[in-house]
Amino acid sequence: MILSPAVIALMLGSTAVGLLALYASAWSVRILRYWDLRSGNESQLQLEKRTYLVSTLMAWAFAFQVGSLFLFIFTAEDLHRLFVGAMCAAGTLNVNEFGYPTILLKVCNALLAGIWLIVNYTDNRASDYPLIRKKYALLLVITPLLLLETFLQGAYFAGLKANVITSCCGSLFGAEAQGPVSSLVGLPARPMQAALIASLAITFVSGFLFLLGRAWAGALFAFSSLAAFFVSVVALVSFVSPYIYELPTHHCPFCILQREYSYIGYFIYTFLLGGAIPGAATGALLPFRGIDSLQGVLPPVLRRLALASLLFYFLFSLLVVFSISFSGLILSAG
Amino acid sequence: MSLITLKDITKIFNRGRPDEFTALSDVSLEIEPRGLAVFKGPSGSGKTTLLSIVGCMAKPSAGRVFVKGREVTSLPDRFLTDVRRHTFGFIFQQLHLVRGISALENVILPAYPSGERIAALRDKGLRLLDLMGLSSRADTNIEWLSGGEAQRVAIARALINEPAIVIADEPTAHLDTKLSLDFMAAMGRLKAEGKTILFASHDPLVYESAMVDRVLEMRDGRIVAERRAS
Repeated sequence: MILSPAVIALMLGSTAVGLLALYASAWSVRILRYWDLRSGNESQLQLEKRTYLVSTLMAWAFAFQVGSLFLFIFTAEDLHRLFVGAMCAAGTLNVNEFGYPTILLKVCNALLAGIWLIVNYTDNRASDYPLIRKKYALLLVITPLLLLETFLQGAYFAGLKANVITSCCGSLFGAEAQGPVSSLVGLPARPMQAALIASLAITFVSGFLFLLGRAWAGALFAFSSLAAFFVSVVALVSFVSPYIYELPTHHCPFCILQREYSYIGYFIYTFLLGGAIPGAATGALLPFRGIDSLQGVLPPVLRRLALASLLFYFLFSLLVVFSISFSGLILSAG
Repeated sequence: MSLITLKDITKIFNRGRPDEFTALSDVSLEIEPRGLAVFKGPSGSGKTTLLSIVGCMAKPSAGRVFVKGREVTSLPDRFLTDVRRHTFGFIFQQLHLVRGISALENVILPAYPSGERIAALRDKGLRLLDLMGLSSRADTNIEWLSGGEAQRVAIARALINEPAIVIADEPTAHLDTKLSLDFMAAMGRLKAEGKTILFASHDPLVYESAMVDRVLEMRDGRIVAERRAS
């Protein structure tokens, strides 16, 4: 195990989030079983006081959870110097079998944590806890994933040995890549460009229609904004990254985090998460528009979410267009 | 329709500890608007606890409170603050006036969070001080006021947010007879204006006053007797 400050921070943070989630889950079960706002008995009033504490704790825990994704990426990037063969985070994550599952789970948990934060924020805007059962049910779904992440991340860091010879991103994300990555790398550029443009276009059009008051466009916007996140990540590996590297055979999604590329990767991933989380949260909140106490609360929240998602996807699009337009690389159709 | 309804209110302090104390036990009560009600009883009978629960300053351990038909005990703090600010005016036993600032600044202090313009607040504060006969003392610092003047500043402060209900906890505890009678006269004027007034007091000058509509006697956290003005 390599005890760098960032590794210690991630381990402690992840353990704390896992323990808090377990504590919150115990209260979630009680809330799901016994919550009854019409009752004035002692246990109900106790739940009302406790939910304030639990949701406050979990709001901070989940804010850390979203941020920890970037700390994890930064740590993997920073540690690559210690491993023979590693040129960036791709090699560090490949040191043992827990690296890639950990980062995939961290992305999934960051999305879920972001959605939970927005549902919790909305619930707290209303006076009668209209989403309390929903947000604690969601918490029960997220808790096992957080615990699994704590385990995987712990196993990954525990298994980091400096004498391991790992693969560089050139072989992991290069033209000769093997396994599931090879299918991403080998995706033809032109259809992927079409898929990226289509998913972003649907997101923008449905988002603007939703902002203009077309309620039916909300569900399409939520779905397309989430789909655009995954399509964008695949497109990044498939055809965007070679433009940034100006190397047709290099598809690494991690080298873009390095100084040589102006840390552009951090901006790309921030914009993508910033687009996906509020977009998906719009979909999570749409079914509750009929609740009386949310009548004055939900419309402005949904508008702000849609606006934030569109803004982040616009910035992402701008960055991709800029990277491709000013790249010295010209890819032929394939 | 009652202005305030209390349903099976229980308040237990330090639950599960050796010093557990039940301050209120299954209190149910309805308070009508535009009246003056006094909760009387010995020290430790639950008067202050009951008033702080009615005034949304504390939450009960069990039971519900309804203010103007709206259930308030389940409200999260951010909503409760709003109810408290716009429905209740408080006059405390210890006046809790802020030393080092003027009488007028003390009066308008609770209205700062409303976001109202400071000039409008000052006008409102001056009108209230004028009603209390204190317009000439508006710019005087609190520490230079007499006990009676300070008491009237506290009353003006309780009225700055135009509350429907004024709550006073042992308001005459530190006043002599003349000042106590002046205080009751001021409360009489508020009652005539349509305010609902709730006192906790064991001062006969208060609960035997002719302007009191209802006296509720408390003992051991319960209401044990009630007398209404004929």
